[in-house]
Formats: sequence, C-alpha cells, structure tokens
Amino acid sequence: MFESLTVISVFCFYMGLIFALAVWAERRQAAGRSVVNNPLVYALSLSVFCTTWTYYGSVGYAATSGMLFMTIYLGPTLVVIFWWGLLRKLVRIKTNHHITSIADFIGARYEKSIPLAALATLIALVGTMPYIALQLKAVLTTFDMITHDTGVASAWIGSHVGPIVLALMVVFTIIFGVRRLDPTERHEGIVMAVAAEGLVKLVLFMAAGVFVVYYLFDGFGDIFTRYSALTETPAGMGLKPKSIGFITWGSYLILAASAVLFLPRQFHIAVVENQHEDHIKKAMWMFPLYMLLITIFAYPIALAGLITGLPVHQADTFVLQLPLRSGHSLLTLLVFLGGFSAATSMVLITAMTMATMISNHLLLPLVDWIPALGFIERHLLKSRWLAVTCFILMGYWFERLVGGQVMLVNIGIISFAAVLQFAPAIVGGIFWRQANSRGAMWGLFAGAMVWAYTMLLPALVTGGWFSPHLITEGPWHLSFLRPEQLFGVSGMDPVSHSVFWSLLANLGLYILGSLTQRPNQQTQRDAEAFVGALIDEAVLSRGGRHEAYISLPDKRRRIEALLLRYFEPAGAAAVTEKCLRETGLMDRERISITELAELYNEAEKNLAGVVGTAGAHRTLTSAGVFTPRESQELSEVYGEILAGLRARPEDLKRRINFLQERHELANRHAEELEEKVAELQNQILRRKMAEQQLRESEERYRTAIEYSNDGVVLIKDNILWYVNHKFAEMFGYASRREIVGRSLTTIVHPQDRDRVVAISGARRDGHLSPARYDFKGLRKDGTSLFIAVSATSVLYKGRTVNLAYLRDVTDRRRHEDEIRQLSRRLIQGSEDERKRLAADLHDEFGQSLSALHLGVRSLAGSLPQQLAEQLTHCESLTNIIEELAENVRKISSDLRPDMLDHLGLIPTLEWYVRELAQRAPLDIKFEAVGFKRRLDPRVEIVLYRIMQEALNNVVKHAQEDQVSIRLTYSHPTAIMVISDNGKGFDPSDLHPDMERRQGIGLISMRERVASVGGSIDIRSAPGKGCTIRVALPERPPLESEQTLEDQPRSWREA
Amino acid sequence: MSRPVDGAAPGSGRRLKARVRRVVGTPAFAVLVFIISLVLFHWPYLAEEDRWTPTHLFITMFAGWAVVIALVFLLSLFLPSSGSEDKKPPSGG
Repeated sequence: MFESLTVISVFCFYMGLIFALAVWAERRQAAGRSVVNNPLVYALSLSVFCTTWTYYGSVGYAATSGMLFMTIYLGPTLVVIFWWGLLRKLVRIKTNHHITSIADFIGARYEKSIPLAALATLIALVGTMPYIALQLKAVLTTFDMITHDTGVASAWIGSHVGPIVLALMVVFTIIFGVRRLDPTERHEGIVMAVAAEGLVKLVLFMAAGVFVVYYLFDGFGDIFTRYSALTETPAGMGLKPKSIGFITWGSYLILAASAVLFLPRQFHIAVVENQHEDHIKKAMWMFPLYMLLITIFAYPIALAGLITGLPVHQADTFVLQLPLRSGHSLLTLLVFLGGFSAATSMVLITAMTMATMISNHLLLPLVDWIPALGFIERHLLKSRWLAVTCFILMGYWFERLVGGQVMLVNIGIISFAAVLQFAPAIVGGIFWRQANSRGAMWGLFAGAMVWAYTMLLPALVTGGWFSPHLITEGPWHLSFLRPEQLFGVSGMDPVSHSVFWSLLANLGLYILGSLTQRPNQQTQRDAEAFVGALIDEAVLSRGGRHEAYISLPDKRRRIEALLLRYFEPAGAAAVTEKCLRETGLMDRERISITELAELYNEAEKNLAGVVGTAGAHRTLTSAGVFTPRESQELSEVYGEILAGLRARPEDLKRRINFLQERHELANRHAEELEEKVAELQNQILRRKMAEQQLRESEERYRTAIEYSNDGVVLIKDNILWYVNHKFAEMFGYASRREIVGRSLTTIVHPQDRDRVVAISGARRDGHLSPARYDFKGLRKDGTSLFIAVSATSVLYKGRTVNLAYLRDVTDRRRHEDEIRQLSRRLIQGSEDERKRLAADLHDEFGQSLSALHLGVRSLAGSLPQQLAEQLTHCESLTNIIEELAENVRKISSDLRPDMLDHLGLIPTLEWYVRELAQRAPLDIKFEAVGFKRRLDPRVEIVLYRIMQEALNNVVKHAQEDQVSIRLTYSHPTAIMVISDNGKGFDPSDLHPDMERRQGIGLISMRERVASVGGSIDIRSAPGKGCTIRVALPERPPLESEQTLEDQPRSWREA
Repeated sequence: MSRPVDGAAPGSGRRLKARVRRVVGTPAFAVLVFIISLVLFHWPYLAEEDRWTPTHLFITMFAGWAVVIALVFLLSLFLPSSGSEDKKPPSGG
C-alpha cells in the first residue's frame, strides 16, 4: 500500500517523462527529422485502442464471460486484413481533403454537410463519454485499492482523488494536445507519447502476467489444471464456448471491428495522424500482434484470480490485486502505473479529438448562427480548453452515475455500440457512390436514437436515473417498446439486441434515404472524390498485368489489309504505322490484349475520318481482328476493370468522359511540346550550321592570315598580342611564341621607336594618324630592315586594338635608291652637258658669229655706194647674223642661263619670269623671301628647272593667266611654292606613261627633287588649279652620304 | 544457356517470389485470409463442444489468432508500395 501523495508524485513524474519525450519528438519534427514518421511508432500509437478496458477489463470480462473478451481484439484483427484497401483509402481521402476528425470526414463526404458533422460530433460526444467514465472509474478504483493514507496531505488527496485525477487529466490533455492551434490537427508529440505509453502498458501488463503465471503459479498448464479441479465454477464463467451465444460472439466481433477505426481517437490516430500510407502495411500485422501479446495473459490472470478466491465482481482489478496480495508493492505500483498510462493516453487523445470536433462542428456553426457569439472565434484555443474540461467532467459525471453498478467492459461496449453508427456512413461513403447526405443523416440519427434507447437508457436505469420498470415493462407499459426487447425480440443479449436494431435502423434508413434523393452535381463530385480515391491506381495496375502473347506483325498485316479497301498501299501502310506510333507499339513483336484493343481503337478512329464512325466500326467489327480467344479475354479484362471500378455504367461513362477530356488536354499539351521541341531542334540545327559556317569562315580567315605573305599583327597597349608566321619570320624569330607578348618597340629600330609608338598610340586613341607609313625595323639578330605598314584600328573583345599589315620593303628600297642615284647622276650629267653646250654655243659659235658679223659689216663699208645691190645683200646678211647670234644666245640661256652661275638664283628666276611674261600672256607674281646668300648650285639649278617646268606646264595646259611663285628660305631649307588658277587635274589619274605622253614633266620634277634630297608635294584637283610645293635642303648631301634612312618623312608616311 | 552446377538456377528464387506475389498480392488472397480467420475465430462453435477444455480453448484461440497474424504478415509483404507520403498543408490557416 502506498501513500496517495506518493502515487500522485510517481504518476506526475512519469507523465513528465512522457511529456519530455513528446517535446523531443516535436523538436525533431521541427528540425525535419521526424521520429514519428515510422511504421513502428504508428503501430504502437494504434495501441491506444487498448485502454484500461483492456488492461483491467479484459481480465474482468474473461472472469465473467470466458473467451468473449477476445472478440474485442479478434474483431479488429478481422478488419485489419482489409486495411490496405479500407484504411489506405481513408488516409488518402484525409490527405486529399485535409480531414481533421471523424465528424469532419462524414461532413466532407456528404456535400460538406454541417448538420451531419454536428450530428456526428454529438453522437461521438455522447458515445465516448462512457468510455471516459470507464477510464476514470478504472483509475479511481485502482487508486483506492493501492493507497492507504496516514498523513494529512495523503488523507486529503485520498478524499479528493477524483477531482485531482480529473484536474491532472485536463492539464495533461491541454499541455499535450491543445497547447496551440494546429490547422492540420496533427500532433507528432502526442503520437510519440501515446506510442511510448502503449509500450509501457504492454510491458507492465506482460510483467504482471508473467508474475502471476510463472511466479504465483507454475505456468499456464498449472492454472488450467487447478481451475479445472475447482468443484464450483463461478457463475458466468463461459469456458464452454457455446455458453456464449453465436450471435453475441458475432455482435462483439462487429462492434470491435468498427470501433478500431471509428472510435474518434482511433480514427484520429489511424487516419489523421498517419504520415505515410506504407505504414499501414506494417501496422496490419504489428497491431494484431500487440493485441495478442497484451491479452495472452488476461485469461490466465482471470483464472488465477478465481482460483485464488477473489470475488468475481472484483475481476476488473485481478491484475492489480494478485501482486498486491502477494506483497509485491513495486510490481503493484508499476502495474498501477501501466493502467494509469493506458487511461491517460486514451483520455488525452479522445478529449483532444472531441475538443476539436466540438469547436469545429458545434461551436463555430453556432457562432455563424448566432452572431453575438462571434467573440468565440477569437478565443478558439480557449474554447477548446473549455471543451476538454467539460468533456472530461461529463465523463466523470457519467462515472459517478453508473460506474458503481456497471463493470468496465459493459461501459466500454456502450461506446463501441455508439461508434458503430458511423460505420454505414463511412464505409458506404467510400464504397457507394449513390450514398448521400439524406441517407447519412437519416441513418445516423436513427441508429443513434436506437442505440440511446436500447443501450444508453438501460445503463442510466442501472445508474438509478430511471425506473427499472422501463426495462421490464417498457414505457407506458408498452411491452413491445422494452429497450432490451424491442418489438418483442428477446432471443439476443442486450448488446447484440442493440447492435441488431441500431444497425438495422441505421443501414435501412441510410440506404432508403440515399435511394430517395436524386444526386446533385456536388453529391456526385464528393462521391467520385471519395469512392474513386484509389480507383485509377487499381485500373492501371490491372492494365499492366496482361501477358503479351499476341503477334503484332500478324495484327498489323490484318489491319493494313483492311485499310487497303480505302487507302492506296502506301497510305494504308502510313496509317497503320501511325496507329502503331500513337499506341506506342512500334518495334514490338508481341502485345497484350489491352494493347491490341488500343490498336484496334486507334485504327477505327483513323478509319472513321474516311468512312465515318459507324462505317469504321462496322468495318472493323466485321474484319475479325480479334480471334475468339482474344474476344473472350478482352471481355474478361473489361469485366475485371469494371469490377475494379465498382461503378455503374453511367458513372463509368462520366468518368470516361472526364478521362477523355484529360486525355485530349494531355494530347494538346503533348502537341504543343512537340512543336516546341521541333522549334528547338530547328534552332539547334540553325545554330549548328551557323557554327559550322563560322568555323569555316574562321578557318578561311586563319588560313588567309596565317599564310599571308605579309606580316600581320594585333597590337594592344603597345604589346604584340597576335602575330602570324610571316611576322615572326620577317623579324627573325623561330616561332610566334617568341615574339607574342613583347613590346612593340622590340621590332622597331631605336631610330624610329618614338615615331612608331606615337603613331600606334594616336591610332589606338582615335586620333589622326597615317594609315600607311614606313619604319626601320629591328630583327632578332640586331640587323635592320625596312617595313612598309598598313594599319588600322579595330574593335576586338570590346577593346580598341591596332591591326597592322607589315611588308618587308628593304629590297625595293635598295633598288629605288639605286635608281635614284642613277637618276641623280643622269640629271647631273645632263646639266653638265647643257652647261658645256651652252658654253660652247656662247663662247665658240657666238664668237664666230661676232667675227662674221664684223666681217660682213666691214665688207659692206668697203663697197662703193653704186653697188647698191651688194650693199643690200650685206645688210641682209648682217641682219641674219644678228638674228642667228640672238638665237644662239637664247638657246644657250635655255640650256643653262649663265646668269645663274654669275648672278645667282633670284635674279635668274626674275629674269626668266620677265622673259616668259613677254612671250606669253601670263600674269606672274614672283616673290622671294629670306635669301641672304646663295644656295648650293645643285639646289639652285633644281629650283630653276622646276620653276621652268611648272611655268611651261601652265603655258601649255593650265589655260589661265595667273601664276604665283613664292620662294622662301627657312634655314636650312629652301621652299618654293608655285600656284596657278588653271583647270587643274586629278593627281590619282596620272601615271608615268601619261605624264610622259602629255609632257607634264612631273616625273622629271620628282627625280630632280629626289636627286638633292628634297621633297615635292603636288596638289591639284579638276577646276581648282595646281599647287606645287618643293622643299630642298640648302646643302644637299653628297652622293656618298645619302642613305635610305635620310629619306624625308613625307616620302615615308602617307 | 548455362546453369550453375552447384545449386539451383539463379532465377529460381525470383521465380518463386514472383509466383508467391501473383497469389498473395491479389485482393482475393485477403478475402481468403478473412475467411480463414472467420473459421479459426469461430472454431469452438464449429467443433464438438464436449471435447473442449479450458486449455484446448485457450490454445486453439491464440494459435488461430497467431496463424491469422502470420497470414496478414505474409499479405503485407506483397502489397504494392503506395509511395504516397502525406504532406502537411501549409500552416497559417
């Protein structure tokens, strides 16, 4: 015996541990590592079915009714066999419709009916109240049994144990299950707690069983032997099976089979808290095994109690009394704890579920109905706490009412019979499409009423609420209304009687109500959603199991032959192939009967486009595509599918229409996808072609660049970024790698580096820079070469880089130099010869003419006047000689004006200008600036000749009369600019042959300028006149000094 | 086709399993188990009454129950996988 305080303390400690376990499970769930999502936990949580009724009541029932107690566990075992179809369907529907309770399920199935859900809640409320009473009775009875209070505190607890236990139950229920609002009504913590408590009660009950069977007795055999030896068998001990009526046995089986799923707590654990449908598979055998283990000692304990001499009316407590009487206190306490554990888990789950149902299906509809109660919505959680409290208090009240007179088992059966009323509405709702809310309402109401009349009322009579005459004589002495012998049916025990009448009323009205109401669209939709929850899977699984034995080539030939009646051979083959493709049977040798049917339908559909639907159907029907065996098998398959669908033809037709719509939608979607795929393939093809073209183009450009005879270079930031083979070869590098990455200055002679870098930088920066120029390059071995460059700037990878083509012009420059030297010598020789010839003409021929002139004049003076004719001749001769002398002088001046040597360049030019102005109608302006000393004779003669040639061109071609000549000396350069306003010409149109032919003499000018190291710039345009600018050094280099490098820049840059 | 010399054909286990699956995996097997269960659970009513002792009754009932559990276990082994894991709807409703 224990102090009440001790027992309460141990219980609180135990519940603290369970709560810690629940919190841990919830934390694991929050962390995404659920421990409850596990078939073992699921199966153990289902053990909430085994309450104190099992823990204590099964022994009591075994002691009074023999093996009848087993029906409470054999019934669930029978129904468990079909759980894969039944429970899985419930779970699937729960998942699809977010069902939160059994009342919610019934309401949702029947057009979301609020009254129906409310009725279901009321039935559950009234029906489960006795069950709560049962738990409280078991706890209070056993508590009294094991406590003996000596202290004040314990005595106070002992005298208030009822309210204390009640308060503890309420508190535990709230903190475990109604701590917060959860829209899913799933509580992993509480499921974990229930599973743990299931394990605890199993272990402790088995411990008690082992203690009784193997400690107090010598095993099962000993108990059975000693019981058989008893001279007097206690009353009601139904060891003889037939002492229990077959109807009773069957009724209890039915009650238990329905209770295992339709008790609100069982529905919550099995359906609402299910996390994976596959968990059902393990629970199917684990749960019956659990029940077997927890009950295997019930019967021996009952017999042991009887053998020990314990009174039968205390059989509910045999499991506790046997260890208590044998003085095993610890075991007694543990067994009590196991019983307490069984009670708390049941009360916890039931109260929590009922609180949800009460608030959702009674309170909230009431709030909708009475707006003044709207504040409840804001206090939903508190209203649930209140519901929990009221529900447990009602259970306590019921326990106080009938607990003293009724055994545990009998109280439990009241609840079982109540929830049996849910069975037609739920089972019918998931298997019968025509079931509707009217049928459910009628059935539930009638069943509940009959249950209340035939089972609850007798219990209340037993509790003293009504007169016993009500049972014996019936209300108003109407014997046919006796609650336990309704309509005179007296061949059944009260439980079977109640089951019979309530089920009859319920089922009858359920079917009648459903049949008398025309289903509307909502009803049909709800029915389809619930009844067909697993239907697709079933149909598909059937379709895939048929053996592929039919020869496809043979069927193909038949269909093709049939199509040949309407198509050309090629067309028939194409249509056949299309049919095979559409049905996914291409490249198959053997097909199943269902696949043949699909092929047949496809062929008919294609043929209907040509001969019409009826014609196609007739043609194919008469074609004998199916052999008799195949036809037979197809019929069987359709039968099998129809059986699987469990649908009426019109339902099936509706479903087929729905599936066809889905099929068409899927086809359209597939076509769109195909178009997109085709478009993507085209894009890929185009891209591939573009890439191929790009590769070829790149190849062409690479070849053109790599094998170019000119060096090609890309320069970025004065770094050689890319060079071709020729470039590397040009500068004496073995490979490109040697030169790539180096500075531009690497390949430029120091003499030209600044200039080349400046030009490259200006081009890169977008400034004006010559597109073509020459520079002196530097080979790897240090030798120099002459490079002609053609460069431009390009955009490469978003940056401006210089692209340059380089050509080695060293040889050409050498040849040009040689030509220039020869030219210079030629000009010099020509000038020398002119000078000599002019001198000869002037000195020798002129003197001879002077002597001749003098001789003729002297002869004329010596002749007498009479010889007039001779004198006239002499005069004539004198004139001829003077004219001849003048011509000689003139020729001599033309060849080389001797005044150039004697008076210098400026007077000579002035003289020439004056002389020309006399001979030609030209307005020539001559200006000379800065000449304080004479230039080199070679320069002077070049300037003279150029001016002479330019003025001759003006006279011959310009056809204008204004010429400007400006001669400037700017140390050390003499610059002459000759401009006219003539018709001008396009310099690009001129080439050497034309120049020679037209006698323009530009070549001569250039050669003369080049011979003294000067530069000449000729600018002209049609109609714009011509300007010749010549710049000559004051002292030209000697022939031996003049090298290629000394060429003026104007020649080197363009 | 070669066969191993020291044992059964490699596919024989699979073939047996497939054969068992064809039998056990059908709804008809569940019905059969149900009928067997009914018979076993009602055996005391079907057998001659006088031969029953408490020992016989106890053994018969629990043995029959164990057989049914074993059959259900066998049935559960060959049930197709559902693959449907319940997903919690978003909270806040």
